[in-house]
Amino acid sequence: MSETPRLTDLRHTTAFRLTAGLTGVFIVAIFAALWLIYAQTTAQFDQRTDQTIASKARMLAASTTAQRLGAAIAARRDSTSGLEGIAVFDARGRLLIGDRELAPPFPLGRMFERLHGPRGAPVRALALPTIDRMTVVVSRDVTPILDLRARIWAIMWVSGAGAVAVALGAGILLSLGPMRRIRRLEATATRIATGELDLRVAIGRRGDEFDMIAGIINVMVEEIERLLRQVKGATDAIAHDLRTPLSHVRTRLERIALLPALADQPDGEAAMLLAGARDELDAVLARFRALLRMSELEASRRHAQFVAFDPLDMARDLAELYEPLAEERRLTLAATGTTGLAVLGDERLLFEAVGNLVENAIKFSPPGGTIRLSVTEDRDGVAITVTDEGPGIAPAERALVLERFQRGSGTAAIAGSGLGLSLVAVIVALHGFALHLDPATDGPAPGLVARIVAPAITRRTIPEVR
Amino acid sequence: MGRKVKPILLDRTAAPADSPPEPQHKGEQGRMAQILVVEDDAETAALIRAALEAEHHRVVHLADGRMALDRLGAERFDAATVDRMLPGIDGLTLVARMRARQITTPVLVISALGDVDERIAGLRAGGDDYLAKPFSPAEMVTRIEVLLRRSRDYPEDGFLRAGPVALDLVKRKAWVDGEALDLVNKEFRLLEFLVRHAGHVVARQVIFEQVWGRYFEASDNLINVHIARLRRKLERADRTAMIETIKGEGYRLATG
Repeated sequence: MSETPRLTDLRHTTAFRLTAGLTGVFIVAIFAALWLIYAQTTAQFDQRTDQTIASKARMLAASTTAQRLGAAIAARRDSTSGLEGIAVFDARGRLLIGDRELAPPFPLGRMFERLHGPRGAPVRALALPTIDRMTVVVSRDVTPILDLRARIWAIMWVSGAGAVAVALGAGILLSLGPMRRIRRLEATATRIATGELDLRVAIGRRGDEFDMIAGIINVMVEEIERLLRQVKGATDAIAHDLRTPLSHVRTRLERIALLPALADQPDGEAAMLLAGARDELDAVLARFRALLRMSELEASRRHAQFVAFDPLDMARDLAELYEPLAEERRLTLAATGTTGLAVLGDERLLFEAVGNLVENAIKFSPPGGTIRLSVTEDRDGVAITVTDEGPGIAPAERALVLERFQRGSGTAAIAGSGLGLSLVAVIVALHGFALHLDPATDGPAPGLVARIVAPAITRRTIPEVR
Repeated sequence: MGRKVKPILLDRTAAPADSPPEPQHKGEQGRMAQILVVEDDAETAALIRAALEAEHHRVVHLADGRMALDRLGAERFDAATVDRMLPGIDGLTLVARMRARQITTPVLVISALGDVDERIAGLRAGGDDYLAKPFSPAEMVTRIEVLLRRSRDYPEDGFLRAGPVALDLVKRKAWVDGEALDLVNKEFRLLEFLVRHAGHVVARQVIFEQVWGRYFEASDNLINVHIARLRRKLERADRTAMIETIKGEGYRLATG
């Protein structure tokens, strides 16, 4: 699991959503304010322009003679050379004086706009009737107003986009920290879930909500660990306490068997019943022994006794030991692998562990199959692998079968205590090695590949085992 | 169980070249032994006594470690069973002190603690073998008898015999009725072990430990298949069964 948060993950964080929401509200507010300013300003400008145009047009239109009109136009023109335009048309719409860009058609008595007015500029204008059925038109250049509008419009867009960008950035930055902490929390929790119950989630000094969650998780894990210890302790206590009285029962059965009345009739009914009772009791005691032994192994720290040994030698010894058992079930068992590898560990315990895997493979393989015991080296280390052609273990059951007394589904017909694989797991864990139970990828049957992976060591001058 | 004590036959002959030598005389080796049982649990002590006496051994029982040490210094025993936890001094200290006093009596340490480490501790203290409680008396008897025979475990001429079986321990060859057998390494060691204890029941777990040198609990079936394989090599249609199965206990190599 990566601790680096991805953008798609950030999108879902609370911090990001809050920031994004807040930004949205901000943007609406900013736009509303800017829009108000814009609307008010432009309305004001338009109104003033219209007033100027109207007053001038009314003044000109009020002229009672052509001479007065001409004088008034001449007088106005001087002062309005920059922005204003004036034109007078006769009854047939011919230009008598002024700017030809203001030529009809136009409405009389109300404001109109023309994109190309005098000097090519956009204008607002008003046409009014005057003496002798003439028409006087006054216009005003609106370029400054349009400029202002464009500017305000640009300011709105830039500030809006800027606000969005700033909000996004802030959202991401604010989410990164919590996201990293959640990732770390998740990584630790995952390891705890896979059995590392001695791990705890790190709690910061801030005492924020994450630290509160971490604290809650730690309390939970502690409680789970305590309960597990209690369950395991109870199991061990039962095994331990019952062992002595059961041993005494066993001893008494043996003494009964030695009594002359029974000893003289070894095939009699009493002797048979006695033998049956003893066998049952032995099975119970063997399970207790196995349980206690696993607990002892789990508690022990025997790394000091670890020595380097060649796993292939061990595999060959195992194959020799189990070969007749395999043959009895018409199975082929062979040990192969790389020579000269070395593993640091307790050879006797690992022999037992791999022996358990081989015995399982023999137990679950259909007659005629092949069991391969191999020693190889890959990038993970030295792998001791037992491959069979049996039914394999369903993915959902892989972790479960390593628990005490747990057996895979569909194994009810095959005798077993459900302790074999747990012992393997305990021995592997004691060494700090890895145990993998995978489906076989080749071969006709589904099959199981049980693999113990040990870190490779270079052979040093360490005394040989045995 | 109707087990009869039969003598183990370790026959000494002049070494021949290719066939097993004829025995020169039949020595009566299986004799009554005097065994000290140091055990504070009365139930277990009674079982050990009953099982050993059934094999016609003489048993002296003591419940205290200190008293046992004194007795061992004063009297000669052929073997001793010592419980790991004892009043007075504990079993391992007792064995260590015995060895310090040059008392070489072979000791079988018996303990409720079954772990491999405990076994090593028992042997390190000077014990000769280790047995975890609860045990089957047959297994205990096998272990005691292995200890009793240890002092004479290598015949002078290098040949071991039991009934029709002869073993050349030097050349690692085996014969039945003068007919050479084709045995692989472990099969030879298995037969050798059975021959050494011919006439006695040997428990599966003891066979496993002595022949394979492994100390975990092997399934009965694992030993059974090895015995079955050896049987097929030993036995012919015209021969009577040589390796007997004693139900619930183990195997016995017939001497006849």
